[in-house]
Amino acid sequence: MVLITLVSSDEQNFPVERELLKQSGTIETLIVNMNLDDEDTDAAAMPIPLPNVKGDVLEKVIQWMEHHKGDPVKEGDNEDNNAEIVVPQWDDDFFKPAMYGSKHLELTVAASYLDIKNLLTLSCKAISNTFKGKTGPQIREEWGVPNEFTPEEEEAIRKENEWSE
Amino acid sequence: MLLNFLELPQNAIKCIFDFMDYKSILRIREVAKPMKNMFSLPSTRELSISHIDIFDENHSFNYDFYFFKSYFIHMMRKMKIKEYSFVNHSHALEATMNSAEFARFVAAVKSLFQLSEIRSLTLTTDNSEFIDVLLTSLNPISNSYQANTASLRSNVIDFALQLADLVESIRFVYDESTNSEPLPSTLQIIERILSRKCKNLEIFGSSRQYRLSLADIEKIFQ
Repeated sequence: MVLITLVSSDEQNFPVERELLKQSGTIETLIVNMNLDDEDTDAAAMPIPLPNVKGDVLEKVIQWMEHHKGDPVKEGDNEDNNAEIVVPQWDDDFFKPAMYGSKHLELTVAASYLDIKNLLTLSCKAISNTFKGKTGPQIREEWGVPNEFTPEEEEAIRKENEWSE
Repeated sequence: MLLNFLELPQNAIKCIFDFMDYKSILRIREVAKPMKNMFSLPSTRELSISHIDIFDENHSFNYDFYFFKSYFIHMMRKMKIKEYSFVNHSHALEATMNSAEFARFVAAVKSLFQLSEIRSLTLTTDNSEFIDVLLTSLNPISNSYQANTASLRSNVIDFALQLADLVESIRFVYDESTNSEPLPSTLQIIERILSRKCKNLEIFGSSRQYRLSLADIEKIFQ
């Protein structure tokens, strides 16, 4: 089993099975550019730096990729299928502890940076699920977003939105 | 909170909004100012549909609406309508849809349609499916209207009469080549339309049937 080492922004090393990394468009490109798939290259001696991903987030990303090992890799935007997507139970449980916090958002940023489309889609779907049927103040409270509006501004927005009720 | 939604990459924000229904998107405007600005709704006036143009071009239709831009960009994407653009200094949406897509679009903005003050309407199609959608959307009373019992021509006249109760200006452009049904005289149509709320009426058609005599014109003036 070929292992490739990923290095997080806080200098933590993560040896990861080569097969898993096919899910990441960014890492796949780096592997190709660094010739890490060549038999002559000592992949173990050439770690891949990921300066935009912290260790704790990278650990979660790897955990997600391990669970989804062998899943078909999503290509392109594929927006047409987005509406039908349901977050599987395992993924729901995976996102839950980080939900309503910056950890989940950091995971989403990492999924975007690493170009892991399935993770990005599921993560975004999980975020959008938390908005469903909620009012602005409820979303603010759940996600810890400070209220920047004056009561008058809030009332004005509610009035503007009235037509959709 | 170390990271907020707005620091997410554009593709992630777009992805999140792709999953959201219209009401949730409007509610997201209540969360924070940058989100409000993302789906801006500058004034109540711009919420109204003040003008609709409908053209029949190879079985598709174009529509102009005053609207708030971001919301409709999302709506077009969500409805998988690829052919759309913003015209008239981005105050109007022009989209190409078939009648089924139009029905879905109208259903999504039905309450906006019904709240809107429609000042004028230009119709250059007599496609019955399309007219049915408009009738049920613009005027809830017309829900019982049965297009399949009437010919296309009757459709258009009925539609004009119902519209005349709702709007102040109507402009119709008829394609004479598709017309086979005997019609009431132009004078009768005009009289019936102008006896309602409608005060401005324009009818375009090449048929002799629509030409007014001097006596007719005198009668209209009276």
